[in-house]
Amino acid sequence: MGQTTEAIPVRRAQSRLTLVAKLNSIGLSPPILACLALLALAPLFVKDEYILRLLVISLYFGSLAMTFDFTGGYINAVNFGFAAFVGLGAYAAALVAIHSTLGAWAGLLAGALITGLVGFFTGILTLPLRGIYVSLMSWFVGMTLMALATAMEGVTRGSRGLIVPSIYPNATTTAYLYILLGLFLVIYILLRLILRSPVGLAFRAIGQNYDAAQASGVDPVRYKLLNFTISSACAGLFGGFYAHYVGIVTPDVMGMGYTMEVMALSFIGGSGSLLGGVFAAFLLILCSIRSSA
Amino acid sequence: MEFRLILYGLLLILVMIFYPAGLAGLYQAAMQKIKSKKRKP
Repeated sequence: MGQTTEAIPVRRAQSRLTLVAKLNSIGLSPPILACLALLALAPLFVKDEYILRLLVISLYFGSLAMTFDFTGGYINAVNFGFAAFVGLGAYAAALVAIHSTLGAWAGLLAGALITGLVGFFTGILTLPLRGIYVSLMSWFVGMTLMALATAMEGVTRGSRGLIVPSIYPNATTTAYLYILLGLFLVIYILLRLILRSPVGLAFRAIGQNYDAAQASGVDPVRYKLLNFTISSACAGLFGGFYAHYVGIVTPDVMGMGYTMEVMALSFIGGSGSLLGGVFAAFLLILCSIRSSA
Repeated sequence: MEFRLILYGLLLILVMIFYPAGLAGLYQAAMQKIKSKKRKP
């Protein structure tokens, strides 16, 4: 009897440790879980609409920085056309939401798929190159996409912009915060699982020493292409969210300024860390906008 | 947006020169310090 009463707390402690280890394996360590819980509980304590909007924008830019870091921090390919991929996802999601009855979620998915596809073909063009040429080529592709969005007035309404309906009727900022938090969590766990797999090891090897990775039997172009496609698809997904949240998509969203902003957040947060950019986004966006208000 | 980019540019230069590992590196260094302090009797 005494043994069983003693064994129960030990079993509980063991199951708790197993749970912590499992959560750690998908990148959800206790400090990260605490930060996520704090963000999830924020709408209960924060009633100021402006601060809630700042939280959504910070999480949005943080998510983009994380996606950018997946390419820049691991395979060492800096995508200068990143904002154009986000914009493409935004346009795709907006067009599906406007012209079809499939709904906003199908639009988000379509945004991710189309951007992933464009990312794949851009990758075929750019990734066999090395060094600065990858960045330059992706920049040119981004500029082309932006010019197309401006010129194709029949589809995108040019610089007047597309008016996008909200994700569901009467969606509040709090609802958008939870939707974005959900998207962020799914993408973060997905990227972590990829990075923990042998594919992630190949990404790291390519990022650290291209020639050594190639000599070890890793096909750099294939793995870089995979990485670039995943990163582009994630950028498109977040772009789709942006379209619904802001309610209008103009070609400005594809501008170089946004790429620079995301790149800066990613590098300030720490290249090759995934979550570093997210923390940098919260720290810098909240500080800079609060000080200018 | 413009002021934000100026701030980011300055921070980016400072991080690149003085702390290339960024905020994530800072966090990891702090955690290691805490762990090593705990280990000491």
